[in-house]
Amino acid sequence: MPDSTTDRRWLADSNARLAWRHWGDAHFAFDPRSHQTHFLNTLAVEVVGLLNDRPQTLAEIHRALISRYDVDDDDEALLEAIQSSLTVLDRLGIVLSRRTL
Amino acid sequence: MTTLRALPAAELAQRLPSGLKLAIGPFVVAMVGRDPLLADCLQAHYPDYPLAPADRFPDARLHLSEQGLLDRLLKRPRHICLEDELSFTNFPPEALLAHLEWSMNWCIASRANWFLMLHAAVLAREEGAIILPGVPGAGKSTLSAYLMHRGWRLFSDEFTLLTPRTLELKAFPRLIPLKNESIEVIKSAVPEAEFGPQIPGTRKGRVSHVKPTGEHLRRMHEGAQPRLVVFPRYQAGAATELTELPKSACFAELTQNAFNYVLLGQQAFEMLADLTDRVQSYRLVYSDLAEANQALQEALRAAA
Repeated sequence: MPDSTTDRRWLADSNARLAWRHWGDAHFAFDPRSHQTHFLNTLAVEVVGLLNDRPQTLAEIHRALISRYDVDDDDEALLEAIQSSLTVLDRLGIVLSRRTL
Repeated sequence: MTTLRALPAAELAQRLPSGLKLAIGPFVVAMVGRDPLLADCLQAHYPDYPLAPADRFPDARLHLSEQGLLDRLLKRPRHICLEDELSFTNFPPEALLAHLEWSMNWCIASRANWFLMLHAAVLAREEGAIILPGVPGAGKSTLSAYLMHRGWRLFSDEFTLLTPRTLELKAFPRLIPLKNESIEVIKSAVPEAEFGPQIPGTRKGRVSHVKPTGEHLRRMHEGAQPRLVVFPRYQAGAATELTELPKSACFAELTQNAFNYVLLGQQAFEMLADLTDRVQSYRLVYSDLAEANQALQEALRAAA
């Protein structure tokens, strides 16, 4: 059975209108809808950046980041980290997903 | 600027039933009550606070409710009421000072949302101000009571008032409530400190208030710019250690420290981020007050 992150197309929630502050590898996003402040790592910020451009599947996000970071295209650790980031970002309401058919 | 000290006792007694307004930092606090207990408390512990103009709207109204003969005979507790005239807190008469101060804290913390309010002490020198955030027990009040007698100007031992846009700090100098063994620590380290009575058995244990001197109150309308954020932690027997803190850690801790961060929303986020960019931040572990003072002065000079 496919993981819930793999059979979906992901997109940034355009209603989020996050305010950002960055210090080194630490990134903070304020969500004016919930008045919550989220502490995110650099990978999560990269993922949000990609999804701000256009909706993408997990495989597309993985390929884009492989190319950006110049890592092996069979890097399972990166794939798992992206999946984890998507799960967290989804829970925070920063990204949305639609099932791909 | 007329202070409470200049008010004859008869006039004080005449004005208190309808409310005597004191200027305390940027706020006006109306003290209300017919009972001589209130007049005595104000004369003893607030003599150098200036009187606010009678037409100023009070930010807090603290009413010591009256007691009848039977209440006094039965030694029933005293009550402070706020605007709704319901009992906000009750206490034995000897604890009036502590409950006036705590009632004032509640009013300001829950209402003064034109400031971003941090649960942190603020003290200033010519070079600028330091903000000392900390959980209860971190030593903010003890350190503040010491520093205000060693050349630092007291803004507050627990309220940081940050002005939107400019990030100017406003002074809100109050009596500092020391608890339990901190009382003896300051009595020993600062023999000249002027204490109020010891009040046993409060919810915070034994409490005694240290008065800010007249000089702190005369300058309470002078603001200051923040230069340092220092997270203090008293640790018995520890060597003084001031460790630089990454900005991300400083910001994360400050967001947990504000009374009204969630209420102010994005404005608070932007203000704390701007504050973080503007200051140097440290952790301070200390057991020796004089060494802590020295370390803070050196860090402030370096940041200015």
